[in-house]
Amino acid sequence: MLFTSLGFIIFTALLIAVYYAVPIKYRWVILLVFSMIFYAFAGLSGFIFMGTTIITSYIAARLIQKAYDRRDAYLASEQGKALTKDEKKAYRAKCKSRARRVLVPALVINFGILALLKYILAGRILEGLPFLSGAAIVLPMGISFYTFQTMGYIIDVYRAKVSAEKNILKTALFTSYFPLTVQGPISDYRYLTATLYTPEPFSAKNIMSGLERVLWGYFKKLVIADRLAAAVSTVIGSPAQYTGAYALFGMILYAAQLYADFTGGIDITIGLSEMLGVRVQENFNRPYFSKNITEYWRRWHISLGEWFKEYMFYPISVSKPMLKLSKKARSAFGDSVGKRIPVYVSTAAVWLTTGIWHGRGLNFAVWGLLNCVIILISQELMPLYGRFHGRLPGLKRTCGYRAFECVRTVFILSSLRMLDCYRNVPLTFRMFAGIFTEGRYRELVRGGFLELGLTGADFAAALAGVLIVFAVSMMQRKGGIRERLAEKKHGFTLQAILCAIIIVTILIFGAYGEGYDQSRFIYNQF
Amino acid sequence: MSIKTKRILTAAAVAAALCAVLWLMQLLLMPKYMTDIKEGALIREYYDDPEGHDVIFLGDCEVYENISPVTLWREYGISSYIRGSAQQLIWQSYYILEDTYRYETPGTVVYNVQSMIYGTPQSEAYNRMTLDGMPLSRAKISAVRASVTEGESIASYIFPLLRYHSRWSELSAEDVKYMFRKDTVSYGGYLMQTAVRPMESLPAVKPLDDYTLPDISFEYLGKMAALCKEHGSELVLVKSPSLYPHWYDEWDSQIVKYASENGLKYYNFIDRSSETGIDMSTDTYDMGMHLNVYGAEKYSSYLGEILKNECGVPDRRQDAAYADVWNDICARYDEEKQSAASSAPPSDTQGGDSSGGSGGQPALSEHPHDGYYFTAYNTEIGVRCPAHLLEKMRENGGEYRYYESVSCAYQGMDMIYTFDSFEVHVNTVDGADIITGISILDDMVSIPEGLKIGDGRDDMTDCLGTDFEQSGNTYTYEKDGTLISVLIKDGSVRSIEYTF
Repeated sequence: MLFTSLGFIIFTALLIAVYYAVPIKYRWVILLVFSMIFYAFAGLSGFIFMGTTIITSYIAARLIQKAYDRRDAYLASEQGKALTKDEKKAYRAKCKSRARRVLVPALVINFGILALLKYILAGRILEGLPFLSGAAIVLPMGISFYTFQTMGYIIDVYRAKVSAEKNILKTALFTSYFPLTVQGPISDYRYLTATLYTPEPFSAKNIMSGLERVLWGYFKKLVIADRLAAAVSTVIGSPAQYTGAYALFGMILYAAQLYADFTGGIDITIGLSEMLGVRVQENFNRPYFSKNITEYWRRWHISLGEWFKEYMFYPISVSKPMLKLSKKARSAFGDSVGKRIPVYVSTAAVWLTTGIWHGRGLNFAVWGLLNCVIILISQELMPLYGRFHGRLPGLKRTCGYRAFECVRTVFILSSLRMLDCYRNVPLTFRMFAGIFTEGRYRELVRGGFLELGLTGADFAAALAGVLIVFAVSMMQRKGGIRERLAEKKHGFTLQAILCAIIIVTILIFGAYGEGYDQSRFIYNQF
Repeated sequence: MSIKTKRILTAAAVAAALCAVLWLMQLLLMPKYMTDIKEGALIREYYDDPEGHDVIFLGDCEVYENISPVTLWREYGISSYIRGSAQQLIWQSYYILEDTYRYETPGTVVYNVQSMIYGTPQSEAYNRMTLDGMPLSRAKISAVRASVTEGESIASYIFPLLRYHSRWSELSAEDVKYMFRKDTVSYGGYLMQTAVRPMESLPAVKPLDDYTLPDISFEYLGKMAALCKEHGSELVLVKSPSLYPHWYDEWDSQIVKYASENGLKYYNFIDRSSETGIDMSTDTYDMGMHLNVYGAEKYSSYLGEILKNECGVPDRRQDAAYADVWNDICARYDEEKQSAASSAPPSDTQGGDSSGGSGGQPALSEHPHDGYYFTAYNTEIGVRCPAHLLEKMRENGGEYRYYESVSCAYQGMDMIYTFDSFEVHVNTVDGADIITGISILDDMVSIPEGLKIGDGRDDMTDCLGTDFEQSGNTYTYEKDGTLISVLIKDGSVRSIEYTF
């Protein structure tokens, strides 16, 4: 069920009606039921894999918890108290080892399923099986998102950051909460479950504020992203025909499309959750205003970056082999170089995995590694930047330089995204080089852009949409617009009028219905 | 007043204002069909005055362009209305009749059987022209359910703004002018055509794989008969005297059989030109497919006699209430007919050999070689190629006969170029004239793969391979989005067609 389909709107309206009709302590059950219905629309076979994740993570978390509870009980007993400090330490290590023996198989099973489906089997045709022969293996909806989210949870239980959930149905809800299965965010267990299991009570404020956010998401998705999709796919679909300026134009359009698509989808997720009294973490913080690529990755797809930092970068950095490597590197190359090597290795591992998370093609791996290279180079050049700005102290504060930094960041990221567009590494490099060598800028400006599947009116509508998004982003620098609006004297009325205006705008200027392909969210494929 | 009450009232007021704005937007954005594609206005127009009709005609263009209710009134005092629209499918006719009974009960219902050849929804554009004009009712929703093509949503027929929202970029003064009111474009559902384009030749009659009319057509015909019976109306079947598209004898015999088995009257007017007086050199505006007003009057005059004598339709001329209404319609009718007669040349003899509408189109690629193609007169053509290639064929010695008619599959006209041994169909797609079909007519030419009419099935697989999809006697090959369909009957190739 697409977020942009009429079916989803009816589904949501029904959910909200039923949800608020039952007492607050049972609302999580309604969410679970509707999540299962939502998931069923994506194909019943997905339940096998999601069910495996729910069961294995529930059992693993419970076993780990049990081991820790037993340990704590023992240490609190007279017998435990009688142990020496070293004996206690050894006992704790033993318990941790027991917990690890549970954690590792759970991680292997779940990441194994993900790897198997996403990188080995996806798209293959089943043969020789009763009932299923000839069927293609389809990647279950949201598997990358819910696997990472649930594995984060059992790692947190292992680290004793959270207690294991006793009710398997609640674990099922945490795994399957439907707004998150489309494209995340990959949520932290503590943050999400604080309101998922015991949501905030009904409030007109939440409903209105959430509705505004949902509509804003639809605006971005339907007015900008889905409109630009036709031109982007035309440019990408015929690389031999659309070279030079066209490739650059396609790159710019894709930057706008992807931003509107991904952030629009997350707006719908967060807004809908807000209407249900459930708080979901932000996944973006105006990323195109980033001054450099490192900052950008702190502000774009925040939940994925946080996940990798929390569950991969830190563990690798402090792992025994890495500490050994660090020691050896320091002794071989000195402190200055030696201390960098473990950081480089950990960063490269994280970025390679981030790339692979997006898909199985070589292009994704190269994309990840190039991000890593750029981040490390810019890190190494920091002293040079420092000296440069030391000589021109006022430059950094000028609007022009800030704008230059933002444009530079967007250009670098858009260039890297060409790997995502063309999905072929040599072709991507050829197309990128063609931007500088093949010209065709005059041809593009003199009407060539109108042959990409969009009319002048379409481009005008998309441009107006982008400008509105830009203006809103600028306004958000002083804080949330919805919050400021709500604080005004006639805040509720103003919010209601704003919602009405957005609805009319979407219904008239949205790229939906006859003549437009109803497209799913780009990140839904990951 | 509590905050809660205030908020509820505010939300209700804003919601009401939102609905009003959306309603206004819908009025603005829906096509008006007032000056162009007037067929789109016909179904809606009925509801301006939906009473007082003894005869209701149902069907497609063969009713709304071929029958003149004004002639029926003047000559026989028959008060009638045509509930027809472009390519109106039989289930649409059925539900329109069901809807008609909500307003009036005509004594006679005349259904033109041409659209019985279609068993599936054909085109979103024609669906819209037929269904958008119906007010929301159970009949409309049923008609929509039966008619939607792939990708269409039922909701967009209930809230047409969902369909027409993208017209914001093509709004014209007409959209504002006719936002709240509409002109009357028809005369009792009749769309007047005054031009004269004589019929000189017709496209070749192609053999069909299967002449059986779809079951669903008979199902709805049965439902129509039952509905008429329930309301005490007599259902009469007719086949209009249009000569193209070809009405096969095999189709006709099925209608004859059904009518006789179910006690229905059926009149086929195709071969009654000597009785109707229709002369296709003066009485057609599009070379034989539809009648112009002169032909429609002759046909109606003949049809009226049957309705009066064989169906007992009453003469209402002495009834002042009827006369007032019809006098107004007649006056408008005469005015348009006279003004057309005084402003247009008496005869438009355009058409005939070597005149086609293929020039001046946006440059498309010449033969792209990315699918099946056909070669003749040193020219390669294929579906989706630009139509100006046909002029190249002519320059290389290929003479053709040209024929055009209102397209049932595309917006605009079907342009048909008939060469000695093959026929090429051209349509306007996205503003460009492109080849949409090629039919091989005899065994004097073969396709580049070597196959020709009269060859056997083995020849077909030798030439085109075995990677085909079979449907009945038709074998379809696909290559880069182009299709070759080979019809094999009695062991030999009977037709070869290129489509996409």
